[in-house]
Amino acid sequence: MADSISTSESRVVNKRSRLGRHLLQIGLCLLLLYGAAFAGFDYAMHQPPQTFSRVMMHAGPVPFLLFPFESMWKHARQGHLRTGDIAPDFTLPLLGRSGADPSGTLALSSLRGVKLVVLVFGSYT
Amino acid sequence: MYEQYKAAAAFYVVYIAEAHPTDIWQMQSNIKDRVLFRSPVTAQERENVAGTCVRNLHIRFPALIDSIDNRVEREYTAWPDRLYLIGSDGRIRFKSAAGPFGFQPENLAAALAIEARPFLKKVDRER
Repeated sequence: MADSISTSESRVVNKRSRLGRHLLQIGLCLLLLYGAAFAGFDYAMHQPPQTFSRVMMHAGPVPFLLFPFESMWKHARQGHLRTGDIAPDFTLPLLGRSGADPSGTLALSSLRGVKLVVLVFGSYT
Repeated sequence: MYEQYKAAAAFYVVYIAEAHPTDIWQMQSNIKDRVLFRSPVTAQERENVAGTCVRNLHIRFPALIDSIDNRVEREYTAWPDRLYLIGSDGRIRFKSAAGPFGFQPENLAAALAIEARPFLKKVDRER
């Protein structure tokens, strides 16, 4: 009787430890899958905007739910410019061609020594 | 902000690649607001959309149009939107975090409040 009780107990213990191992294996697999998805999405965030946009077109709201989207995005889009760096010069056409420059373009460097410059980068959409 | 600091700072929109064009990553809010534009493929197309933007949003300061190869946007890592303040010495005084999360005009206003002081004092003296 004592032997059969101890055999039953050991069967229960064996079942529990097998279940525990299975759960651990499943957990590790899920963790690896999440890690791979995270790395893949971070890679996508570092791609040119049009490439990243195509990823998001197919991914929908899932990345916002699964990942720390905002902090990943801010990190991926840091860029190389820092406060204190010389702002890269550029010459761009003015909308409506109505600038002081008759050619209708503006060179950023032409504003040096005159005023501060605020640049608001963006688009309508 | 523009009205408050225009004596001290030249404000420019730099119009760049669309954030949510209809042919790529469309947003429901744009559909609701009827802001529906495909990705411009020529400089003229981008200028047309920029003109509509400036008119509809009543933007009072000048706009510059980035080249269709997005050269300036790449240099400034500006997509989808970003704010910069550049000193009269040509150095960056403020760079916002990447938009949309980092596009916070109040942070630019705080930087302007400090950087614009010498210019506004000079304007007051000249008056």
